[in-house]
Amino acid sequence: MNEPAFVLHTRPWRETSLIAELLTPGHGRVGVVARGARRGRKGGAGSLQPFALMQVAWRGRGELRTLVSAETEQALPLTGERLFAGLYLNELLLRLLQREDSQQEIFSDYAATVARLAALPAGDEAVAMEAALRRFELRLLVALGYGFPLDYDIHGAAIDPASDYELLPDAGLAPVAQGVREGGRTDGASALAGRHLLALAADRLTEREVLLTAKRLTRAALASHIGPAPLRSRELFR
Amino acid sequence: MARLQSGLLGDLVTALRRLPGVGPRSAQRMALHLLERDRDAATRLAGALMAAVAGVGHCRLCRALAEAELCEVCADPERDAGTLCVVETPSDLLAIETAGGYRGRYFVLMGRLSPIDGVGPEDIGVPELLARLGNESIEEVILATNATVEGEATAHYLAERIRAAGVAVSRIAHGVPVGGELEFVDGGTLSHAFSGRIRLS
Ligand SMILES: [Zn+2]
Repeated sequence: MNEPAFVLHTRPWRETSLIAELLTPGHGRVGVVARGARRGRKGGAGSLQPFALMQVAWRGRGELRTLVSAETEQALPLTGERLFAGLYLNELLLRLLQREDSQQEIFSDYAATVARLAALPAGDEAVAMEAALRRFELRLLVALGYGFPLDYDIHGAAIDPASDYELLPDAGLAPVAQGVREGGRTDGASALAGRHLLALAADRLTEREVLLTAKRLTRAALASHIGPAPLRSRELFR
Repeated sequence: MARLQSGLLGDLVTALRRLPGVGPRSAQRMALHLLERDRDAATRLAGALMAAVAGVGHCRLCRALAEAELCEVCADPERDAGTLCVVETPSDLLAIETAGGYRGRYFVLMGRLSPIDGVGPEDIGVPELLARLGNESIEEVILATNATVEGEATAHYLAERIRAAGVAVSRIAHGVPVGGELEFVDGGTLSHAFSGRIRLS
């Protein structure tokens, strides 16, 4: 097989080899053994780094394939906070994707997101970086079949900018009843403001408040699919 | 040759296989050599191993292997106590010492940040490193982690916290190897070399 790929993660295997988890368009997540990749410099571990678009070939079948060749087509250097953002994307995908489940859309979204992160202007990247991560998460939820409308609630009513909502796992957005909220069942922190949800639906991710609501929303939506263990790359962000 | 899998000899083969680069066949060859041909060496090896495991610990300051409370570098009054070099592993420390030219002290992380493998800041001694900045008169920290994605993430994470502690921080340059021709340098290395360029004055 010959395919474009991104390396999501590598770990040492035996004395001189690596096991690499790849993201490909045609085969989704693929695990390959790169024999002797830790031995020398040439074509070694240096060429199996994350965040570079590669052209790879492998053979064999089953859980672990054997990497035959890997060539970097385009290095997308991520530095500073953007590197943490990239590691977060990779951890998220490793937690959510099963091996060998073809996901053309996820591959192109991932490639576009990494390229966007790499191109962010230095020094002023915080808001744009958050927006890129939230867009990726929302599209990933849709691609995996966990999506829900952002402009309609679970009863089919249009989201009201003046109301508050909560996310019901695997169902969608539900209005938070005023009385219930005052009764303290839903704390203010988990309520999602209608006007922020509408901004998200219209892809207007510029206000800080909208980004905070988006983060709470995607965290809640992802939580039931990534399992109870926390995502460790979140610790790296300030 | 049948595999030695059980009994005392089997235990020895299993123990030897824990060494890096030693597979079942070479482990068996080593075991037979020691017991058939060189029992004296076997006794000395066993004694040296027991003594080293009991007597070698980690340096209180830099976390490198040391027989005393402090390793030789940290105990050396000639070394510059104002400069601290942060490396991932003891082999990195040895490589820098062998290259010569560096006269400061070290801090060994014993790893690198790797969220996907569950390795966080506490696991690589970040609190201990920051404590040293408070306790000693360190003027500059040189980050000599590897030029891998995880090494870079580690360097960035440390740089922010060291800067916040009011200490100057620098990153070793990565780029074109000495004697290397640009044409044959891979793209990642070349882009590193560009971002790490220095102004000529
Ligand atoms: Zn020491």
